[in-house]
Amino acid sequence: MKKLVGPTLALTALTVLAAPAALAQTTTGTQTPAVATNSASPTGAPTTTAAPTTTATPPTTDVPPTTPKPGDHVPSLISLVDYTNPTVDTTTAKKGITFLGLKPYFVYIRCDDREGAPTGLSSDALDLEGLKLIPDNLKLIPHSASYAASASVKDSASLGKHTVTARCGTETLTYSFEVLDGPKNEKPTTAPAPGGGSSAGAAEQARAQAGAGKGASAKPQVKVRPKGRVETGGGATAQR
Amino acid sequence: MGIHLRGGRRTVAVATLFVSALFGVTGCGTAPAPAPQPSAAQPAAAAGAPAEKTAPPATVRIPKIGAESSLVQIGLKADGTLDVPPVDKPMQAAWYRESPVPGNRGPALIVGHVDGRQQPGIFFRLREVAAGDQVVVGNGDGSQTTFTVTRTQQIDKDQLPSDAVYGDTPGPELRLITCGGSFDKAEHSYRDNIIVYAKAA
Repeated sequence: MKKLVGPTLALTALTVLAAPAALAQTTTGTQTPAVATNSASPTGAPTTTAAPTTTATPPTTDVPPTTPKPGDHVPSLISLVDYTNPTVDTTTAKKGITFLGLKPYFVYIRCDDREGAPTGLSSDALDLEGLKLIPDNLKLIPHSASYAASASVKDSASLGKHTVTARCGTETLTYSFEVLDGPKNEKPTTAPAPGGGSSAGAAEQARAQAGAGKGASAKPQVKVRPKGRVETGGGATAQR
Repeated sequence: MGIHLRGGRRTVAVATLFVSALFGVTGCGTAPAPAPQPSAAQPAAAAGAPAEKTAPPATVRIPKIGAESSLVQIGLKADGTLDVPPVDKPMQAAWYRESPVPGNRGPALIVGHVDGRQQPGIFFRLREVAAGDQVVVGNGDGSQTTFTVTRTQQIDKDQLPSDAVYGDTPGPELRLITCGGSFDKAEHSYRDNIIVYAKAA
């Protein structure tokens, strides 16, 4: 992220988009008072010099919350999330993929706002953008501040276990995940594209005309046919 | 780890980051890999046949509509659909790297946004292109191929004619694709694709 929040238009849009989620939070909160719990949940500022480490676990079902007290320290948290499935943590991250042309994951961090913004966000396997503060106009958890940073897997990352870390105050947060190979190196399943007998026959006929090969062993000119729709517009000019 | 309200908070995170990208607040797009430098030439085709181009395409130009862009390379997304240039860079066109190098036999595929980041994209006027118009693609080795448009098509995205677009062709051809038609606000997507079919002149 090259620039921090600035334009009023964007802020307005963020507020509008954030509203439904915030309302959902309100609803939930009235049923069961909200609080975040964490295995490493110190009360007040850490008093030891050694930085505690929190290791995130795979996705779990939310547990019933308890009522936060104004002076409670907000448990810190870090996790990795897939944009396409944002309600759970992801324990895996694929190489070589994007989401609408953008980074396909984001790192989610929650800190106690009395400790300032998270610092030291890093990972040996992720390309990370800058942290952005997530708007929370309702402040259902006093002193809770959430941040997110878009992420993608580095091309150079090795397959297997990796971590992403950051600090809230003096507390070091660590989340473990596994890097998987991307679709490019997975067994292809899309070539040639389904099209039924007549279409396949037409393609084969064209291939024969092109002299590209013989029979079923000929390679298609488009090596892997994309599936589905081609999405090339944001809608900005739709009303023009 | 009981993280009550976390799902909603993360939904906000998605909205925050995604909208930031759309509005260009962060400029956080992941640019597809730039076209690599030309590699060592492969052996020429058999005597009498035109040599295969090995350098990837670097530029596309459509004089009729005043469109000109460098080309980045794109592949497939995890779900197998075609990736596109970052929507926050709507003036950036892209070549699908699993399609032929333009000028070689087969349907080379170039895509561009009709709009993005609150402004028209590189292929905003692609719908104005008609049969007989020219499209010029420059390759990284300095060569260029001129294509002549043979037909255009506007079609529901769900009806994209796979064989016509991606199927083998007897000679060098080009496919230009962007979005068109009405805008489905619920889906946040245009309903149609505009496809331009062209053959090497």
